[in-house]
Amino acid sequence: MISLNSGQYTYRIRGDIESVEEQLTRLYPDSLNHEFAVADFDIEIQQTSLLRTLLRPQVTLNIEGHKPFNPIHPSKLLPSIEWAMNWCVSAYDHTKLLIHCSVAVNNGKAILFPGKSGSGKSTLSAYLGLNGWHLYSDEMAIINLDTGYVEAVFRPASLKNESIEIIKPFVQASEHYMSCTTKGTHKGDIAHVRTMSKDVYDTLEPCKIAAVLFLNFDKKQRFNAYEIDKSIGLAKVISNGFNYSVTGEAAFSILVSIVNQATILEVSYSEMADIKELIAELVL
Amino acid sequence: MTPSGISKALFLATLTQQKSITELEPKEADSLLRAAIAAHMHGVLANTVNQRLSLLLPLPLSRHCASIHTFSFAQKNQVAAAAKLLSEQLSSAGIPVLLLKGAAYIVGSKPNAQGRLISDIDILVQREALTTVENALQKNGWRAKPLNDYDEKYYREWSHELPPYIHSESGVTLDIHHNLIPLSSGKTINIAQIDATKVWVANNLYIPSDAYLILHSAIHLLLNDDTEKGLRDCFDLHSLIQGYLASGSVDSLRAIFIEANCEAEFSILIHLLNRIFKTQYSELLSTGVQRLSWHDRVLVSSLYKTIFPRTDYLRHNKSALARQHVYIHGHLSKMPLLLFIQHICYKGYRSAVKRLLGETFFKSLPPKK
Repeated sequence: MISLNSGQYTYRIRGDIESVEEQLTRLYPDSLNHEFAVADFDIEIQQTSLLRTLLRPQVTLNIEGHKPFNPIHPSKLLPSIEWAMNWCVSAYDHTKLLIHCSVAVNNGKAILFPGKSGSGKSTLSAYLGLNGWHLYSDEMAIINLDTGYVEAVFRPASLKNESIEIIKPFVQASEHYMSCTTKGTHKGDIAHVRTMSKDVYDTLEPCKIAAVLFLNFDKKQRFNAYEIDKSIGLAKVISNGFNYSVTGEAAFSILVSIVNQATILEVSYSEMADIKELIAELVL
Repeated sequence: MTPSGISKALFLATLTQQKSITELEPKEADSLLRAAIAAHMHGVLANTVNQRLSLLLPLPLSRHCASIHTFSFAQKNQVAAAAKLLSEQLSSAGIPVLLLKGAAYIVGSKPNAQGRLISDIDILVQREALTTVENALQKNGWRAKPLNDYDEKYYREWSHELPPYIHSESGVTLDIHHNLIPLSSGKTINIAQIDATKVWVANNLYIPSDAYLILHSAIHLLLNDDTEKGLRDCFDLHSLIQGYLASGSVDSLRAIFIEANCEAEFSILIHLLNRIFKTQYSELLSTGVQRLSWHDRVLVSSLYKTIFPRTDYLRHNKSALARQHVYIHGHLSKMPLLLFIQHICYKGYRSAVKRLLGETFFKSLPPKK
């Protein structure tokens, strides 16, 4: 059994954790131990069946009595644990507004990157996290419903397929770490990258949201960024909400004030360098 | 490492507020939270925590409680909206919407509504009106959930409800009942009487009278092979019955059970609630409730063992024999012996395959056309 603290939430992971423990320890330094702690979420690694244990072993994740993911081979466990950790938050924490996006911060100002899978948001935010920015979250913005500020979690970024090789050269400093790659998950090859040390994470404070960028990655397209109408921007942010319908009125009013103050852009790009210049201006 | 868990007695004492959560050790508080979530009762747990108390609790606990308050509030609005929509959609077909179970508690603001989690909306319609209802629903964006042939046959021939419908936009699941109990059970629920005594809540929207809400919940608990949400049913029943007895008599309540050929179930229910909630039923037991037969005493004991969720966080909770007993009793109450044997052979085959080849073996098959 391990207790894993993501800065915001405490997870208990139990069952046969041996195959992932070493990797988790590297992804979450100074955040993981074998002591008991009252946990926000309980994740149990279970064997699926008698015969399979002998012939073709499979494990499944039991999260507080739910099994939202398909069983997988024990060697493919690491990404599933990361997904399960995201699932817990989106299913159970309605004290915050949760928006499906990655969040990068510089100069005390946050930029949200909502976007479909394939938009390059994870690649971009991992790149930023490894190059002087702070990666507040790779999967969801955790927004305080009273202040509208976005809060940081100590979680790695998740990289898929060719993004892994793109990002690898930037993993240089001692506070960076890239996990081993898990091949052949239902999302392809997956690796996770830690972009900061726990000490740095501990200095991070909730931040005002300065901009929301809807990304479209297209190799054939020229760089193009244009501001979109606030009301359309609001609707697009809401459509990325994990728990917007649950948090209701409070979520609506805080999003209205966020969208009114932030720059809302639609961005098409094929080179990360183009985006870098644009976002540097947004957090001046 | 397996967690040590808390005793069922401590679990119940905190949920019924005989013991304050703040008196628990951190490990006990953690087990309480896990067990409450597994029992679908973290809403009930959250009801025991007010703002002052929540400051004294470990953060994961107070956060879960705050979160479920928000969820519960949103759910109430969503259920009300879905019920209103249904009542409008079925009104042109001349069908009154009679809500059952969770949706009825919430829309009718029953004493157990606060923190009650629901996964779908249940309605009761006359059997003759089923085709009209299905047509009206399909015209309004509802789609029947695809099932395998066996389950489809089970629903259509023997069950008291249709295969679930799902609304294509909102994702709301709708269970349409034409009776409270499977047709194969031999019990006789007077659906016309439920309809005649229904209570108006809004335009074309109704809930059953309190006595029938209790009868239905009791049937769901006692004539069922699956007691996964059994403890939650008991808490519903406790609060509904206490509410009923504040103005109604135990005799009038029992009369409803007798009419449905469920007198034995009424006694079993009160004995079971007495085991859980203790003192509040001692007077009832001495005046209005039959002594139990030898078999029913064993059944109460088996039920008591199986209503708690299967989780490592509750101690003494692996009573396989009691679960078998409740499973067989539940099935035999729903269907004659011969049908039961056919049914368990089929289900037994599927479960053996699942045990050998894994939970998702059948899910990977392409859907049958």
